[in-house]
Amino acid sequence: MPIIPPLAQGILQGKVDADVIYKESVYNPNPGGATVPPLTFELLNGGLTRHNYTDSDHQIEAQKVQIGTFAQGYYHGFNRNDFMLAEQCFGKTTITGGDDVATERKIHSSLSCSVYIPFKPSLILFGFQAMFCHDAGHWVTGSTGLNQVHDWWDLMLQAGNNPDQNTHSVKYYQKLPNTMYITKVKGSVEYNNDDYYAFSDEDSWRYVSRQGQLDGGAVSAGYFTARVTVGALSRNDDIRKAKLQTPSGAIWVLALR
Amino acid sequence: MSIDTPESGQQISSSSITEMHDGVTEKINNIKSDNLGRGSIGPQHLGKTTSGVSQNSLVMGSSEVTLSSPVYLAGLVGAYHSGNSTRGLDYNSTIINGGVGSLYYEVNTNWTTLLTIPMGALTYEVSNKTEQVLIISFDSRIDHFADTDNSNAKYPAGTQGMVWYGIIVEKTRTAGGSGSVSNEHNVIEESVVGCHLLDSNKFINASNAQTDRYGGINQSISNTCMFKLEHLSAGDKHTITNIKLCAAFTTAIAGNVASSATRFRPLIRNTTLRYYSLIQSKLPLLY
Repeated sequence: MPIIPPLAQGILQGKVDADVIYKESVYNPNPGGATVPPLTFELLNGGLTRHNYTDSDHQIEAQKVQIGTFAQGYYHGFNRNDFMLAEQCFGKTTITGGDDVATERKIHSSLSCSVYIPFKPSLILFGFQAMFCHDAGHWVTGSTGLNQVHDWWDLMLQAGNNPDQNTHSVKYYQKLPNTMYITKVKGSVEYNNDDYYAFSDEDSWRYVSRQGQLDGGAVSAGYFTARVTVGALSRNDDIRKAKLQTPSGAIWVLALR
Repeated sequence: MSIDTPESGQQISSSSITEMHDGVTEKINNIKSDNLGRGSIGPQHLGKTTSGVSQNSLVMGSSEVTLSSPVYLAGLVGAYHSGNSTRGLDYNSTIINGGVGSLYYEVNTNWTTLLTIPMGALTYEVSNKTEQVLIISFDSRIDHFADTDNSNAKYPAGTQGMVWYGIIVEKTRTAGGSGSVSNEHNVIEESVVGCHLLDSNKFINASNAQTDRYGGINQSISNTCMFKLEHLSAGDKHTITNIKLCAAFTTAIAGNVASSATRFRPLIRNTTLRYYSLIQSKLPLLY
């Protein structure tokens, strides 16, 4: 802290003047504008000045600062299989930005968090990263409705104080590709025979990372939700066979004061 | 130690006032920085910074933009360039419009600008007062290869290639420095990432041991990097004008794609570019 100078008799001029005592000794928080620290007992009311730092490099040791002073964050990572079935996610689709998007979306249980932020942040960052292993066919069967069509899974990162689960937009969106090639339906080899069902190709499994940010005008103090919602489109006659496995991933939030 | 205060009934004089004041200041002035205990500084002690950032905020600015419509990458990156200062996707401190080279040399006309963040009046100045950094990140989705005439059909991935992304920071020197340079373009080295469009063209199939496949790219690309003007001389002042995200395409089999070809080109969707700027005061935060 700055050095508080003595209250000289010259200042008091030999009198007991309440106004002078108040301004020169007790409370004068802003004597010379924002750049001049108060040299009264107001110093005890806190506030950092040069003298709060070690003089050599003007730094303060990290352990002297409370956790959460500058930022508050949350990270959840997992390394265990999370399964979702297309049967859970299958629903209506719509066109957004020229792309098919699922409108009825399900929350990914491992890529979801709700974090209490006790202050209104100036900026809040959020995101996820995860490995997705999924089943989705590319149908080239010659049959009506099953020729040159694709199955897919899509991911939507949503964030806010109370985001709409069914929000869909071109922002924070990622679609997963088809992973298998299906040519026979009820032919000599039936695709829905478990013995011959096409296997998903590992090369089409994706590691997805998405992040975003909201400034303070769009966020209030309180619970902040960040989550990934999932949609699916499958043409399989048994959509329980189409699943999304997430073996590893994480979701995170960082609020800057 | 306690502070001597006037006793009950004692007449208060100017001398007793100064004695009390001195007694208190002696205690207060002996509290040094070393006396700060663990966790003694909290958010209530943060104040305005020297650059007038809002009370208790270390964020100077932030913005995020999103690609509203899908974009086919029109530009094709040519052969690898082996020059020391201009090789491949390398860059140096030369200046695009300075006539002495280019920051991303052979790709400067073939890279497609996907997104631009206009920065307004964000000014960087090297001084002993503040450090300012830009943290820039992007996410992108490579949807598929184009068929002929950029139609939306999927195309066999036998001509698999790579998509390159680069973050470009455009700035104007407004004070200090030398020469007449008014615009500089910095490709952030860490931002130039190449994504191999990993796409096996053989699938295990129910009726065949393996078969050709189509499409199915949907790659997810992300990167984060930091831009810091620490190389500037003291007194230099730069205004950041734009942050851009550019992308270009190359093939693994050069003979499959001519520079004028329109097929095989990747379609880019769902791309978001953002930045936030943090200020760290080298001088103490003001009261």
